This record gives sequence, C-alpha cells and structure tokens, in this order.
Amino acid sequence: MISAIPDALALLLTTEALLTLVLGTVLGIILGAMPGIGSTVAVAMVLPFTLSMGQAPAILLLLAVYAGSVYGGSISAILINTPGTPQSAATCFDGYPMAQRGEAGQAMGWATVASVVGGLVSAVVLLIAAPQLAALALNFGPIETFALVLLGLTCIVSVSTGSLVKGLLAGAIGIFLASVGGDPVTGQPRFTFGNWQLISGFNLLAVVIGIFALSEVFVRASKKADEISELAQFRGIVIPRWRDWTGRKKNLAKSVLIGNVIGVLPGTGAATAAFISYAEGKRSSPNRDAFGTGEPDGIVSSEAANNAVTGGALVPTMALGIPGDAITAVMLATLTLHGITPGFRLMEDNPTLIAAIFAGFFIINLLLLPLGMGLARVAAPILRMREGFMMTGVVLLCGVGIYFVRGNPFDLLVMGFAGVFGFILRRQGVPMAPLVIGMVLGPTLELTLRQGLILTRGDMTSFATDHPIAGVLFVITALALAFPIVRGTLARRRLSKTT
Amino acid sequence: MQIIYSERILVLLAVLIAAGGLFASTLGAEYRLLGTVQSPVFFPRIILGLIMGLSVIVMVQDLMAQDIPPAVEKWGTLVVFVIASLVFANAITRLGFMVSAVPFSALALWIFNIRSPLIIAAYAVAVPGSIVVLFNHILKLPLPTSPFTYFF
Repeated sequence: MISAIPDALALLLTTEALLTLVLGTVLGIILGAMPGIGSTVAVAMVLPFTLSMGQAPAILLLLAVYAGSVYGGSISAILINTPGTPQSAATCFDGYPMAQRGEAGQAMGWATVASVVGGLVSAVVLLIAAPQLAALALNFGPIETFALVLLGLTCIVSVSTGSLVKGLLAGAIGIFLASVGGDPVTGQPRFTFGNWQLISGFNLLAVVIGIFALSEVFVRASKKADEISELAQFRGIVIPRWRDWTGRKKNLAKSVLIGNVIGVLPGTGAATAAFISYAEGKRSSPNRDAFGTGEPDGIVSSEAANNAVTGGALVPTMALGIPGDAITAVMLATLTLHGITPGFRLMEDNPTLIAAIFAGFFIINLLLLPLGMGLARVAAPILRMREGFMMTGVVLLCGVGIYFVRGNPFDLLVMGFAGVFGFILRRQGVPMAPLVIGMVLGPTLELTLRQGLILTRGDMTSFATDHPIAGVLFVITALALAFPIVRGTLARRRLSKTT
Repeated sequence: MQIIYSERILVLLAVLIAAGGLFASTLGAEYRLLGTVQSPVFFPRIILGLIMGLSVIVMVQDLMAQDIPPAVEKWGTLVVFVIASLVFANAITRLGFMVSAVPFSALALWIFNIRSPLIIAAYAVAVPGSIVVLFNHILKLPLPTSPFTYFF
C-alpha cells in the first residue's frame, strides 16, 4: 500500500480530482443540511454525475458527498432544531438550546471541530484496518466467504431498528429480489415468467433509489406540510479556543473511539453511534448535569461519533465488499458501475486506486473545516426553502440517475414500483437497510453456498467441521442472532420486575 | 375483526401469498440439472420458505401488539403523486426528459402546496432545463429527447 502512495498522489493531485473533492464536499454539506434529504439520498442524487468521470474521481465524489452530508446534518440540527440527517438527531439536544441562547456560532464551531477530528481519525483507521482485514480475508475460499457474508447479513439484521423479525424479513426479501433472473451457476432464468427484461434481474440501484429516495418523497407527499422552525440568529462559525477544550478532550477521544468501533460493525450506522456516544457523554462527562441545556460536550459527543463512523463503515465495505450501512450499500452498487468490485481482491489488484481513495478521504475530512466555516452561513438561508422544491428535484435527479445506469426504460419502472413498495413496507415498520443489504449480498451468498456444496458434495455439515474459520464465523453468527433476543428478554424481565 | 383486516395484516398476507405463489411456481418448473450442481431454484426456495415463515411470525406479533401504522394525512394527493411519478418514470424514454419533466414538476410543486403560478412555471422550466444543459452540453451525457425535436 505504501509503495502505491506516489502513484496515488499523482492520481489525486489533478485538477479534476481536487475539484471533485471540493465540489463533492460542498454539495454534501448543502444536501446534508436540508432536512429530509439524508446521506443515502444525497449519495444517490449525485450518482448520474459520476458516470462521466474516471474511477478515482467518481469514488472521491461519492465519499465527499457522504462525509459532507454527515457534517451538514448538524447545521439544520443546530439552527432550526431539525436534523438534516438522522445521524445529527442527537446534536439537536444541545445544539439548538445553545443557538437559542444566541451562541449558534459557538455551537457550530464545536460541531465543526468535533466532526473534523472524528472524520480524520476514522480516515486513519480506514487506512490501517482495511488492508489488514483484506489480507486476512485473501485466503478465504467459497465456504469461508459464505460464512462471512452470512455473518455480515446477520449483524445488519440484528441491529436493525425496530423488530428483529421485521429486519430478517426485509433482508430475506432483498436476497430473493437479487435472485430473480439468471442463475449464477447454470445461467438458467428464474422467476422471469417469460419477461425477457427480467433475465438480467432487477437493477440494484433502481431498487435502492426507489426504496430510499422515492419512498421518502411519497412519505412527505402523504403528510401535511410541517411548519418550518424558526431559524436561530447566526453570524458565522466561532471555532473554540484551545483552552475551551479543557476537560472536554477525554469526551472527544471517547466519542471518536465509539464512532470508529461502531462504524466498523456492519449495519450499525452513524445515528446509532451518535446516540450511544451522547449517552456515554451524559454518563461520564464532568459537565453531564448540563446535558440537554446547551452543553458543548453534548454536541461534541454526537458530532465526533457520527463523523467517525464514515471511515469505519468503509472498512468492511472496501476490504470485504460487505456494506457497513445503507449509504455504503448505495456506494458499493455505484462502484460496480465503474467496474470496481470492492472486496479483498481489490486491494491486491489495484493498490494505487485504493491508496488514492484513502488519501482522498483524509483530504475530504480536512476540507470540512474551511468549507464548513464558509458554507454554514450560505446554507442557513437554504434551510428555509420549501420542501416541494427539494422533493421535486430529488425525483427528477433520481430519474436521470437511473436512466444513465443502463439506459433501460424498465429500470425506471422498477424504480417507481420500488418506491411504492418501500412506502408500503415503511408504514408497516419494516426497516429498509436490511432489504438493500440483502440485495447487495444475496448473489455472493447464493454463489458461495452452491460452490461450497459442490466442493463438499452436498454435505453442509463439513462447512463447519472441515473449515475452522467458517466454523468460528458460524458460531459468531449464531451469537449475533441470539444477542438481540437475549437482550430483549432481559429488558422485558427488568421491566416486569420494576412494575 | 377490525384487527384482522388491519393494513399491517393485509400487507403481510400479501407478502405471504406472493412468496407462497412464487414457491409453488418453482415446483412445476423444469430445469436442466448439471451433475452435482443444485437446481437453480434450490437457493430461492430456501429464501421463499424463510419469507413465508417470517411473515407468519410478524403477523402473529402484530396481532398481539395490535399496532396500527400512522394514518396517511393526504391519501388523495399521495395517490396522484404516485401515479404522476410512475407516469414520469415511464415517459422519460418515450417522450424525452424535458417534455415529461416539465408537467411532472408543475404537478409535484402543486401537490407540495406551492400555488404561485409564476414560481411553478419558472421552476418547472428552469430546473429540468438546467439538468438538460448540464448533462447534454457540459457532461456530454445525452438525456433522452422527444419525438418532436432533437433539442430536448
């Protein structure tokens, strides 16, 4: 990896790549600040723009929008008490009270510095952890890969919000949707019912964009317009001085650590990290009594953790091809459009590209500081924009994006119907992330299972007995599935004892 | 009785029936079998079985919890918007992006309570127009044009 750095820098220090980093971060901050857009939709919206780009700038644009949008969510959380992204929900608790006291600039300053530190550390974690994890997985055969993908799927489902069974159901639906079309081993069509368009299966991006972006627009169209919260007075970011950090550095370090650890676990996501970090800050900070009333430690806890997740979530995505959350699943699908298949072979086959991505991610997080300072003032008035303008733009760009994927009218219809399907499932409390991740991982799960069965002549027990790594992974999978059930049972017992 | 007919139960029943139907369709289908390779429907059958089992569990859970989804506040506008989105998605490649995007944008803005005709007209022309200029002329990724003119 280190030997590839000079070539990677040459790839990165081009006008196109640098401009992409800046524009992507700017776009990410603005889209992230707009309530209702969210990181997943923001990444999906820039998809068509990547199609005219080379591999490196395309990935850098997606990463810049991802990191920028996670930070951008804090702007609306602090200024209008409405998180731009779910990851920033915990920032509202202390950010908005500070803004109401007339300290919006200071609140934004704490959020910006915490986000930058969280993001930078996560970039270092990505640089160190991803190649190690990929090297470990390099010797995996189909059976070990099957066990790994199964574990990835289980983790994602077991941490899905709401009901575990609904998460499993969504994951199974995603895996089934991915199995429609040609059989990966024999090539024979399945579930096509004579429709030739289905032979190549459902386009992953059409389903993902429909389920996330379009269904969100449908949800908003079905509700009465919300009152726009009052915009707090804001004259620009005030960066906290070094002495202001006295007694807060430990909280920052702990939040960054929580974000990174949670980010690496597939499926957990930045929102979970921000809330866990906020709760930990509230428990251990010397200023814990002031949490919820406009305490900077509350903002630091949430913002450092949610930005630290970005690099962490990219570790399993880039090293193993297992998406860390729904956003990285969209990125994974987009990367395949550019002929890049993330996973353990990528690091071996294309170290220059990987080094450029990792270095670029570091630069993106550095850019958050100056761009955040410059853009926060510009983004503030945009927060008052009517939601209809945004939502119409989302549908137009989603249509353009899906058209450019394959130029296939069928994909556009799939996107539309996926939007309706996503809307219906959301209303039933079914989480969407497991469905998307099931669709991403389903083909690998099927292929490796069937390859494994050919190798073992149909004997599934030897998956665990003859392959110790796979055996260990199966045990961890079982534990990951059992964990939420045990946790739920214990919580219920505790509740019945107290009542 | 009211619980049995609730939206959640109906949706889960639809999932269960769809999965059951798809599973049944694999029983009659004939596939070429190659040596020790499993049938092409070996894996989907497992997944469909899982979907059926899980939908029954979720249905039982929902019946016990008696959860009802939040009421849709504007059914009429939702239905119109969904139909408009599906028509727009279908029309992009048939009528061209610009021709399908202009009426869709105007309708979408109206649905989202923007009532100024001037703003609606300006947005409905300017935003799709900017997208056409950006993709066709700057990024050199041509969007579908209409059967009437090659300009848009």
